[in-house]
Amino acid sequence: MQPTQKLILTNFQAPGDILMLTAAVRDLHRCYPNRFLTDVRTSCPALWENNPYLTPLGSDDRDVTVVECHYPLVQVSNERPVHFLHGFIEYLNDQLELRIKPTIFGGDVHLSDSERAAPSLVEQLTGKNVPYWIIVAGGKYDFTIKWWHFRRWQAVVDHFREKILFVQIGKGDDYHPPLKNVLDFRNKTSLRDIVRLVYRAQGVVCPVTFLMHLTAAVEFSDPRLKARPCVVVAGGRESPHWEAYPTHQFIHTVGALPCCATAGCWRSRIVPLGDGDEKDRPEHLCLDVRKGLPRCMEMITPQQVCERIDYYFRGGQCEALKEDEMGGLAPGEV
Amino acid sequence: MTPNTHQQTPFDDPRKRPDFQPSLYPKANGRVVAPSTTAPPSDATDRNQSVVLEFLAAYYDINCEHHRLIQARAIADPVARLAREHECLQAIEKSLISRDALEDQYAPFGIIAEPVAQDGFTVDVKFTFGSINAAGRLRAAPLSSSTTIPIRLPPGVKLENLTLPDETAPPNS
Repeated sequence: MQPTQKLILTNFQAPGDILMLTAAVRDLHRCYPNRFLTDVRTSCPALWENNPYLTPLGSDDRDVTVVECHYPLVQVSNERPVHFLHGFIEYLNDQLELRIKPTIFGGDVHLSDSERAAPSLVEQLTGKNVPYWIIVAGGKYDFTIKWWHFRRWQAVVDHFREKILFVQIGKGDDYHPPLKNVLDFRNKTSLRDIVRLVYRAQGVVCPVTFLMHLTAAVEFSDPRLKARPCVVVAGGRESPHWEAYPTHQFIHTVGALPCCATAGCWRSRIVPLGDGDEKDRPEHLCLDVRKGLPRCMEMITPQQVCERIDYYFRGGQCEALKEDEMGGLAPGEV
Repeated sequence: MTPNTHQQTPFDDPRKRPDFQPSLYPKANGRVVAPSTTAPPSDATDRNQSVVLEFLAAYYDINCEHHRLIQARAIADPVARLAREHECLQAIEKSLISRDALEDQYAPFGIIAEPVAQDGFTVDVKFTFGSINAAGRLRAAPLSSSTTIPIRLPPGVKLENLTLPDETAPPNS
């Protein structure tokens, strides 16, 4: 029997990246039970709360191996049939000479019993335990190419006005234009709040962002459900095999346009922002901008997104708001 | 087509109009910008300042039309009132279309101009820019910080007796 090895894994990238690391830690322990004591140092401690695979370790412990985690796999993801989930796993395999394999198609975020028992943030605010969808209508400024036009998001909200209560979230200093007829939680949620919101959410609609990965990483408040509906407006930046989850409706254009004919373009911005970021350079800019959107995003219509959302209702995965549930919610007045 | 960063037509600053009504000109991020001296200049060359003025002008026009609508609704003669109301509503619609065009023009740059309404009038516009954060710093500007770490000298050692490394000496010397 091999001795137990102590590991501290570090990464200080964005929350979506950290979610992928939660998957790697889970799979490390599942593939090598009792072989490792693991702790982490990351930019998102909130994503590690209640994680059963972590053991508090001190950085000054001489027996600890500190592994600065990366996912160089992304550099070849346009050629190889691999998912984002493989990123850190393959890196750990290389660094530690292991053969970890992904065990679940998603990240690994855990809730406490009190979090499971607590009413949703929506119920706390409205006093009603109603189903809701989370909507993200923007994103970070570094990759504006992922944005869809806010009027298109609004058209989706308007289409489902009597059927779905949308809760808009977004970080304060990112680009999240206000939508009408939604519960406006922009700049009002911590990372942990978002985890709890997702736990009780009936569905999610968003661009390629942290939330789509969280949707696949958080358990369901309703144990009858096996997968949480999620519609992703993706366009052609990322290859779907790298980014998408099987139970999501991932609307993309890879293969349909010359600029993403065989794989994602991985470009960053629609137009230069003038913020001093190297992503303003021509090699990072979209090659085909139409009506202020990357053509790949412009091609995706609100009708398409509504149809994909409707799949889940027609398939019986979701239930529309009942007549008495919508009244008094005062959307937008949060 | 890449959205135009510059105005298609010369910007008509309402503050220069003879009938300008300061009370209908919204604030920007809670600050009065016209006609006080703190206002961004009308010939602002900085893009963000120009954008602020363009949006304020758009909301000023909407406010003016809304003001006219209120006056129209006070007309006693119902026939005249209806006709005037119709005109005002059409004018409001036209102003809203202009505002929407501005929003569309600047959306790819991450610019949000969020109106704050009071009694039907836009009294303030909250701006978010793609290039700078809420503190006014370029988003990608590097942050630097420094700290002082006191290090206790071993007993009997005096600072003036220490020899510090010569920074100008070649490496490994």
